[in-house]
Amino acid sequence: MALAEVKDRDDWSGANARSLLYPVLWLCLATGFAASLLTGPAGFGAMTGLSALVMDNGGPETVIMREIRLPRAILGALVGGSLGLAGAAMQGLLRNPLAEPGLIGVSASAALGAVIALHTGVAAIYALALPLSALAGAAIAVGLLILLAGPRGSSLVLILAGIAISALAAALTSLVLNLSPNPFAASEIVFWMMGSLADRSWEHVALALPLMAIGWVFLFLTARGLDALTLGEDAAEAMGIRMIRVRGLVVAGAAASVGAATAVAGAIGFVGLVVPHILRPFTGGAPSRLLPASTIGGAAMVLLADTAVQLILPDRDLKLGVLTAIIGAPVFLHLIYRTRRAGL
Amino acid sequence: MRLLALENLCVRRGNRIVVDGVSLEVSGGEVVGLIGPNGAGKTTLMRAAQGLVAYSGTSSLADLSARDRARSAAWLPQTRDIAWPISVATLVALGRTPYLAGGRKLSAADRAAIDTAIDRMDLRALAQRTATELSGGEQARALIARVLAQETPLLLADEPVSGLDPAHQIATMRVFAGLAADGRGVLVSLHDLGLAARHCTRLALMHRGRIVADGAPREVLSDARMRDVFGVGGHWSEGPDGPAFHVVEGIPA
Repeated sequence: MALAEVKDRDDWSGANARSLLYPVLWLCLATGFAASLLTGPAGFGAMTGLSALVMDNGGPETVIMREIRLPRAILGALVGGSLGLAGAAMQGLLRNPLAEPGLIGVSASAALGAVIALHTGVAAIYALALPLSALAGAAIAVGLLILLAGPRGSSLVLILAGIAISALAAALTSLVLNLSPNPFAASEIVFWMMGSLADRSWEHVALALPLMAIGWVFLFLTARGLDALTLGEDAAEAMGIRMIRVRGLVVAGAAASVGAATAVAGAIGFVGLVVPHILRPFTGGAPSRLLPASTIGGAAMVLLADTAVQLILPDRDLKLGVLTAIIGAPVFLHLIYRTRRAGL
Repeated sequence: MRLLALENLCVRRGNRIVVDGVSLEVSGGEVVGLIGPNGAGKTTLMRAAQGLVAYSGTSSLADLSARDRARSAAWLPQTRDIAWPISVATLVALGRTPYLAGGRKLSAADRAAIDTAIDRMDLRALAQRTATELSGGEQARALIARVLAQETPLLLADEPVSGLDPAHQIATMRVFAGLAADGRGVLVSLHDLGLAARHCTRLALMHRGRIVADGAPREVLSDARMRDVFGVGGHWSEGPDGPAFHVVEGIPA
């Protein structure tokens, strides 16, 4: 048996679709990044913008490109990548294509933290109080999750604990809204929760990047374990995979990256659910190959969506999270329909 | 060479004792059939032997580190669980997991092991197919190939042949016999007593958590044990290709 033939067989079916996957994904990401950089309310052309970005022309264009659009685009890529990666890892861990990163309660708890910061007014005093408070919320959620599910808890217990934490965080968020002193405070909270990348600065990037980097490292470390988990927890354990470690890495990684994403951009739904789902057929189904693809895909999706919100209703401040949900939910319904038709 | 040694192994589930003081050894060159009625504790015994459930007593396997254990024994669970639409070749390649720590890619030796396993389970034609779209029996063969690719001295298999067609049942048992001929050991739980009698070098009969008989198939499958443990009769006959054992409905007096 020639080695070349073995190598071919080691790859998955649909080799053509697969070899095109990464070029297409990188192209989408590059397009999204460029579109995000070149879109905005300041009316100057693409060439002016790009030259102002590269060379300081002393005018407002350079400030806009370097201090507003570039951090926004980078943050969009980071947030999208985090959501896509965490979604793929969570689906792999729970062995369920309907899992999403918010399932462990991190998004809802981060939102609660942010809402408390808005409600108490500290967010108005100190710009980073809001994301920091959101991160604290995410951290508390993970602590609670580990306390509830235990280090040896099964995936089912993990899901149930996550649902309970999400429900509690949502209830407390409603309470804060309920008690908000005036309609303006309430609307500020509601708008924040819709998720947006508008008016973000390098400070937000600096805050989110280290946490996301840690989270990404954790999540990518689980690749081999998630692959083995395809055959069930028992088989994976018997293949030398320590499930406690895999579970811990996914929970901690998702919490760090999605917690940071929610802290700086609010709740952006459906990216972590839909992106892995769309890309799975093109990666041959194995979770390890889905992780990098989902990262790039998530980043591209958020960047393109963020460009779209600025183009569709430039004057009305359409929120990013609203758009991803409006696009994501029907896409997801279609995917469910297709899955059902395939008889799975 | 002794590959597995269990001593006074006990597993409790709530108040119930599922495995009750089992001592068992499996050596290289043996295909040990673990037989017994439903609920006798066969699956739990094999899981406890690898430390996959909490147990008391000693097991030579469960004492090892996770990676050493995975290189010493491969485990084929009864549930045919394939979560994602991966190809058969990819599925079989998962058997190399214990050797791929630290992000190492498949080596030539890994590929050779995968290749041999695919050939042994007659999966050449299915290698590129998506595993989740195969029939139950084909999936079972792919999963057996996965444990073969793990190339461990010991193989523990829980009901590997249920759902296979007769030709592949016999082929699978022959694969196990081939492993034993290479000096490896197999512990396999079986419900088909005819298959067990014919293809196992030794049978261990479990009943209510205990091993009540351990020895050559002829000795273990006696009339009295068939009656007491299974509630059916058994009959040995000379078949065209050697001694054969049949289960018979009537209980001999």
